Amino acid sequence: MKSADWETSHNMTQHDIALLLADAADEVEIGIAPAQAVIRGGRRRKARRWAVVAATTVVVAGCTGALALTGLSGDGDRGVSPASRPVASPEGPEPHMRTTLASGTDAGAPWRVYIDVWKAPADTAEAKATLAAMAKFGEHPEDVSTASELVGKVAHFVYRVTGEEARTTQIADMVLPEDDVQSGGEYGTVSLPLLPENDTAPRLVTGQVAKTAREVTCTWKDGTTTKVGRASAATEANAAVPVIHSLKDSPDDWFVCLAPKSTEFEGIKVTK
Amino acid sequence: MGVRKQAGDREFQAFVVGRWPRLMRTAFLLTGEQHAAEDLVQSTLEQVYVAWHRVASADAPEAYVRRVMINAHARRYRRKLREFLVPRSEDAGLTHEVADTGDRIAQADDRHVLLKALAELPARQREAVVLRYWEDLTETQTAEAMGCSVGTVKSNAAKGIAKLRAISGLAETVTLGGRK
Repeated sequence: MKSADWETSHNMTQHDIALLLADAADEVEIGIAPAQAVIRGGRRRKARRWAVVAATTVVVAGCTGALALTGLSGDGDRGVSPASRPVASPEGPEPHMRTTLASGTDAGAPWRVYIDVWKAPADTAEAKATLAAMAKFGEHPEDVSTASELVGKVAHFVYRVTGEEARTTQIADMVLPEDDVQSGGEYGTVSLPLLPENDTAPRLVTGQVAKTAREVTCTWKDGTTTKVGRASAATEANAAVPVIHSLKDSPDDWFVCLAPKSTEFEGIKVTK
Repeated sequence: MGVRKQAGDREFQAFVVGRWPRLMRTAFLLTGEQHAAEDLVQSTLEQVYVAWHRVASADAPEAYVRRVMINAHARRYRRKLREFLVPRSEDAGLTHEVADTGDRIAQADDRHVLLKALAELPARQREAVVLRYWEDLTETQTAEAMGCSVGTVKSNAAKGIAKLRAISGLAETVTLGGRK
């Protein structure tokens, strides 16, 4: 049994340690809380979230040896997403929630990137129905374990389709509150190799921007740039011209562009 | 920007301003360095902003913030940013003499001795000591913040305290009853 003296001494010591800690803590200069800087930093992190998921997915899937992430913090904030699995393209007309963000031909091989956006359910019953509808397309948000967690949130799934055999791979999964909109020059991007195998240069850029953004400029490592604007009569006549897409149920607008064959992704900026 | 988002940002801003001093002090004890403490708190709050929708509606947002901060601290420690923990060269080799508690120089010495001693503790022991004796958390709350069992908290806190007691300068201060 511990003696009373030992207990007294022990408690005194811990009490004194607490006083010393409080004294030492006073040495720090508190300064003014940089609330606006914190909010800006938080917004940047928020904009990057889906990119982290996509990158993780690719790493887990082991599809490629190299990828570039814009502004990835490296803090490992996110858990590992389920491995990206090739998914069969449902035959027939495009489902209502699907939009092709970009398509083209690269070295003779066709490619396409599309996004499925699921409207935010208003209540748990709607959320259950939405999850059931997603399941028919092999989709389920990584961050959602119960239907109630999906209420008020928009689910996005981004896919890359490559080659004559139309190999389809899910490259991103993101769930956002429906009022969680980006503003001004905020953006999120991820750059990946175009092909899921035997390709290392991150040339395929998928991004999300504010609904007010009118032009995004992608900069490539060789110093050249590609401007991505809003759809117009000219761009509609040429499907190979990348445009910013406004998706009805998503809080953000989306775009995809592909770097020239000889270079790779450097960065993007909202220029208008 | 939506009305709800603006309201959320205002609420978050008030949270940041209100919690900043306390978080800075905790971060300072964890990191031992002014700029590292600022970085840790700012990084923590940026992560909290991302989840603010959920954090604000939680019963105890402080518990969430502490958990994020401890996780961030643990990650930085794993990256071996030990330079944040090493006392500045001018602090090294200080000889400690016990003096009147009103002696400001001696008080500054005590702070440096304690910060140096804290810096020399393994990260988990330092976290346990700071959360238990500075944040005044219970063992259960500390375990939640550190993401470990209560037993692990007890063990880390006991080892940390024992090492602090073994520091000669501190032992003398503690023996004399500490600073009031």
